[in-house]
Amino acid sequence: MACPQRQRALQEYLSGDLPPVAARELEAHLESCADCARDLAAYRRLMAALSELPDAPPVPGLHRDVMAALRPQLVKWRHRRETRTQLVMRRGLSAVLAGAFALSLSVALWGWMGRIGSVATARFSRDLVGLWKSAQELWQLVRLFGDVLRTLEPAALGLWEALRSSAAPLVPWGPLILASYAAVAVLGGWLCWRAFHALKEGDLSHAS
Amino acid sequence: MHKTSDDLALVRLGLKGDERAFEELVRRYENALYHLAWRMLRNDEEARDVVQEAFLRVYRSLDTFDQSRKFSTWVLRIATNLCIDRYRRRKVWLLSIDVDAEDEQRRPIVLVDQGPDPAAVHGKTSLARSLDRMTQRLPPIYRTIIELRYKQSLAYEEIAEVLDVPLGTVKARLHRAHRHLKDLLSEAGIGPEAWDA
Repeated sequence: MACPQRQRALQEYLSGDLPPVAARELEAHLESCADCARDLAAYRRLMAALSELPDAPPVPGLHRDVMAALRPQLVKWRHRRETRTQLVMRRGLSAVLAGAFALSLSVALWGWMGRIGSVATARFSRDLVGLWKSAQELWQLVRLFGDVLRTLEPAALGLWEALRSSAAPLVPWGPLILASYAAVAVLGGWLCWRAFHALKEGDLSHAS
Repeated sequence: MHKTSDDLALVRLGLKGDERAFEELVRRYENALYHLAWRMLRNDEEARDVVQEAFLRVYRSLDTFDQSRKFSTWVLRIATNLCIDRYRRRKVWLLSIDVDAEDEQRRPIVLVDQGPDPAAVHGKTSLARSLDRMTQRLPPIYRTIIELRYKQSLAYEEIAEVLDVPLGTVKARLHRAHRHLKDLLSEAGIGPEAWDA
């Protein structure tokens, strides 16, 4: 290497970054400097060879592995990505479903207590202590229901993600989700209708 | 790197919570990220970890992505930073072993390739094989720049964006990397006359 100060110019010349005037000066120099001409050839071959660098070994299953690691986090962060409309829709639907469920449960319990017998129900309606105990029992029932939901949620989410990842290209999940919402709403409505129908038929007449 | 406009469309869908759009982004860039990480770390397991961690960070901070820029350079920047962090941690770990040695003198550390020789696997030319070995002896920043320029085919401006350095720094580092490699090949007795690229 006879001209260390020209090493950078040689590379810039090869990559086309050298200004025209400097390029002409370098070309003139190359005609009289064998070392620089050899270095120029060396850089040219080096740059060509670098483009031929071997790739990393093939990575079978990389996408599957990456997504398997990412999915739990995506589920965790999904709600952060919701738009305002999606948030309102999700919370609204949840509230409607929860309301329908609570209503049907209350009416069913009322009807059930009515069927226990007129005396017990009459006592229940008059006795404040009994009312308080009944409210506590109902609260325990609601809490138990919440615990069951919380227990089932991770498993349900895992099952959902497994189904979704395995059948993602084949199944139109959007319409299916809407259909499942509709089915739950219809079921809730039917339960309510049955409960009110039972009331109308006089199942609770003993309670009065 | 291409499909920039499509990338932005996918990013916007991802921001709206569309996980399939995000998965498509993963599919597009996972190999590029893996190759970058493998070139830096030479370890399959670590390279996979970097890819996963990079995409986690991408997803987590998708709403901070400047959409006037290219997604490809952003994701490569995240992966590059992760690789450099890992490389430093690994170096610290090796240094701590080194300090415990009898002479307590810090010697330069050469990280050894832990994977199969890719050139042997792929049957490339002898110069490519030698160059591949030589790149492992370069400092990580030069290794990165070689990968970004020659394997990811990025322009100088894109490399500057990935590394978050001025354009002049990119060119200077690339020149130094070339010079290092040329000198290393000469030291190894592999002269230009033997380079049949």
